[in-house]
Amino acid sequence: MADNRLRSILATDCGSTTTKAILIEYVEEGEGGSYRLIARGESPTTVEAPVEDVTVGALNAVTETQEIAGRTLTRDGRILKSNGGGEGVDIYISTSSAGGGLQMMVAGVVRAMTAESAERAALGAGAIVMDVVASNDRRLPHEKIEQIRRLRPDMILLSGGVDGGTISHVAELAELIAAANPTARLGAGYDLPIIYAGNVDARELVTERLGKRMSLEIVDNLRPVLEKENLLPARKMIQSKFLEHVMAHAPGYKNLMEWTDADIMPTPGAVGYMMQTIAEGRGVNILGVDIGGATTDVFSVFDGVFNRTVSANLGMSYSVSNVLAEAGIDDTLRWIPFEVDKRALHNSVKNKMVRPTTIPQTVDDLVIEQAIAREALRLAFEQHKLLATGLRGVQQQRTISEAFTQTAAGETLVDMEALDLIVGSGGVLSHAPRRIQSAAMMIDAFQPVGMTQLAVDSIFMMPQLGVLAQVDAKAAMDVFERDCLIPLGTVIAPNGAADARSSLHVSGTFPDGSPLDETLPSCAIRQWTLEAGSSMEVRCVPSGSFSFGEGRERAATFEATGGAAGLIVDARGRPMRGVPGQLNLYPNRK
Amino acid sequence: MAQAYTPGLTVARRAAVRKMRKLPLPGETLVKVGDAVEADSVVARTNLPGDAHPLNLSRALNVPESDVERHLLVKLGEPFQKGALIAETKGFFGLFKSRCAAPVDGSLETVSTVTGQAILREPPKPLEARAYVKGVVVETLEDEGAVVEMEGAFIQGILGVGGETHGELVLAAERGEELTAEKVSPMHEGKVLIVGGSVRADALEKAAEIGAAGIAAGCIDAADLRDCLGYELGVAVTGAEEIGLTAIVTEGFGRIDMAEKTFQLLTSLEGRPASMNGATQIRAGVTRPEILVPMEGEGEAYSASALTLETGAAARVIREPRFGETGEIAELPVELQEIETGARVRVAVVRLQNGDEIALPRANIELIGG
Repeated sequence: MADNRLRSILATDCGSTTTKAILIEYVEEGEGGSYRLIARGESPTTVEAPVEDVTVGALNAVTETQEIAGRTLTRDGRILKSNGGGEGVDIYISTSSAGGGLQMMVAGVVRAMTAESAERAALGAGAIVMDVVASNDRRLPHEKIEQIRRLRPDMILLSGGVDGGTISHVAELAELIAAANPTARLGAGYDLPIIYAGNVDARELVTERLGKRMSLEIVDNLRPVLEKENLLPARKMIQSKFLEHVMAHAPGYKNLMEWTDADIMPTPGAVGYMMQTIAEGRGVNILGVDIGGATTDVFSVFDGVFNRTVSANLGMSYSVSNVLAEAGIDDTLRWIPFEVDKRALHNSVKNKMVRPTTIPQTVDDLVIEQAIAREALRLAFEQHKLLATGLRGVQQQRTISEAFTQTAAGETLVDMEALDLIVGSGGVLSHAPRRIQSAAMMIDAFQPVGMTQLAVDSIFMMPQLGVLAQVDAKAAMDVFERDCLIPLGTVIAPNGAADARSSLHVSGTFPDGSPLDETLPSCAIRQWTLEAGSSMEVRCVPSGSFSFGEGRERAATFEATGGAAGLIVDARGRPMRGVPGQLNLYPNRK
Repeated sequence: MAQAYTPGLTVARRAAVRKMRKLPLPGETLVKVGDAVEADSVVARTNLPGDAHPLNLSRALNVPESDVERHLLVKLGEPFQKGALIAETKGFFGLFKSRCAAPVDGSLETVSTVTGQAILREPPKPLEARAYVKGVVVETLEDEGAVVEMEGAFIQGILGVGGETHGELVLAAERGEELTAEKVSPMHEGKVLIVGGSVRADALEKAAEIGAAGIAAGCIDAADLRDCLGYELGVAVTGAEEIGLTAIVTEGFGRIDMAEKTFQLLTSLEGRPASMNGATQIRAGVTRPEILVPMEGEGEAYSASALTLETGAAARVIREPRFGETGEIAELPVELQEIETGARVRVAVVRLQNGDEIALPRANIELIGG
């Protein structure tokens, strides 16, 4: 039987500023082979004037990749298909968030029910949600019309009503959208795509009102009954319309779409798909974060339920000033162990905003940047927890114990005690001068409880691997495990307040045979070397207010795995209060 | 190849700058190729659809949604004036009628028998696209506007607030000097003020009060900008602020004088009319604020190719601790080097004007072009 395995894969991610290309090859090694990253190149994205053709940036990135790999990948201004002579690639795939990505407006009848489900569907498909319009959002009808008209989204998702439920509210929303008649962001040359995923009984009414003015598609109701969310048909249609309308009207994308061997995916959609693949493959609950210059994306998969949020104005360069404004200067200063002139800090942060490509040059500057990153991550995570919830509006039968603990429909699905793995990516995490700094930023921002593994995406390959996973899941997972993910190690942290009577005793034996036997007082944090690839059993005995969910004073044993930051035990309490103690993260600081 | 340094802002005595003047909706182009235009000239005109006003007739008349059409007094598309009756019930033997008057001038666009809602559309609003700069029309965009080319000085700032404006350039403060309210006088009405140092919030307010067109300053303190705007500028997307004038800073925040070259160029143009726009967007397709001064055939043409990162190129440090200092590139080591933070990055060795030679990340310098 002929071997029809893919031998070489080229993948690009056309980001808003940079286009990144990676070359993956099947390498025979040991028993059986595996897919490995061979080379990576990047180049500025060329969607905007003066070039206005995305393929130019993609080709530049691929050209850099071919120079590094020493292999011919392009010819005559095109990606070269494999010719059996060691030139070209078997497949070429791409993701894109260039030109601001996919920007959507969503609408539903009840803000906390169908509108929220629509918001989750759009976010999960990789969109930035510009606004959520709902019949009960307290804005007057003319205010809604003005807002819809002003927004100029790429696409609208309209939902509303369970099947057999209200039709008049859905019709009213459709009338408001029709009256606003918004123009698509990428120009007046085509009809704005609108997807209807609401009450089946209102389809005719919606078609009457919107069918002639916009490019209307109807899919299954995303909330057919209150107790069930059915987001997949809407998500698939969003991605299909993204290609058909939005991408097709972005500069150069028609060519790019012809070049690729699989559909182009919105970048966050691809990352989300990769997160789900990892969670499923490893059987773990996962939290992923991508902190960029303008936005921070948070992904989670808990018990198989995937959620994604994007915090549009929490980033480390273009929107860094907004992080400081939203977090407040006092919350930011708690992570900075020296006196800072507040006026100078504000000026320095605004200078970073207007010159986003600059990097910290002094250790103090680095400390400040990483302090702001903690706050950006924390705020983005807070927003994620609010949206990653169970369905609201569902009547539940409660047991007596649930009634006492006040568990409710609409509660966040993010369960820190059940979290197994946190994956961080984005410049400030992936490129921190010391890996332990990345680990510390994630621990401080997310405050994991129990035992949690930490990792960073070395060069933010997850978008390309996400789209690859749709074509060849083994190839994507091979590269993810071996070349993409850098294990940072394990953090162990008890729940409960860090009061004077609390402490944590940890014991075990390191792989080299040396003993671990230490009592951490309340508010302390410690780190030990534990190499990547190694593991050890850690027995933890909490006292005072600390616990590991088994009750106070009850011991817990964890299998900790190693990484660049080793084993970290955090006894600063949950939630962390005041000015938390820190590891020695900046040995260069004078 | 990816560029690890900031290309820098353009400061050119003479450049040919093309400005696309486009309507948001198709309309009528009023100029032709070769036409000379002033900053105020109208190059295209259109009518924006009027605002939509939803009006729930079912509730207003207290009739079922399905009945509202029967009670209409105007037809679809028919114009009416504010206060005119547009719907009325028959009442009880002609008495106890419910009436609905138009809340705005406009026409009836749609009526829904499901929701009982009518959409009233206000009359279209005329919208004009102006030339913005003095120059010549070099291209017309069918029904949408034109491209105007200006020859003259072109200066980009780092951040601005406020939109397009124009006025005569006048020196208000030297380098190293702060513009405070006391230094702003009625003679600045309609002018674009050049400020070599920083500008204070009270000066911006006073300048807006007396009707100055704009201010081009070296820097502003973040707190002054917040005081002037009334909120913290969190994201660098600007241009729509309404603070009574347009303000541009060329260097940034804190205490940094306007670069000498920029200051000299602007002061040499004192008395000339300038167009300026504070609109800034520092993301995908960077838009920087700008000052344009038409000067036909004067000075040496600006060449974009001058901006190459190479030994001898003029550069400026754009991050602390030597923020604002200028010098020339002395060396460009190929190998990554470890900097104080522990990061390994590509560096440039810059010989500063005071003779110091320092190695710093290439990302932290900008080339001074033009």
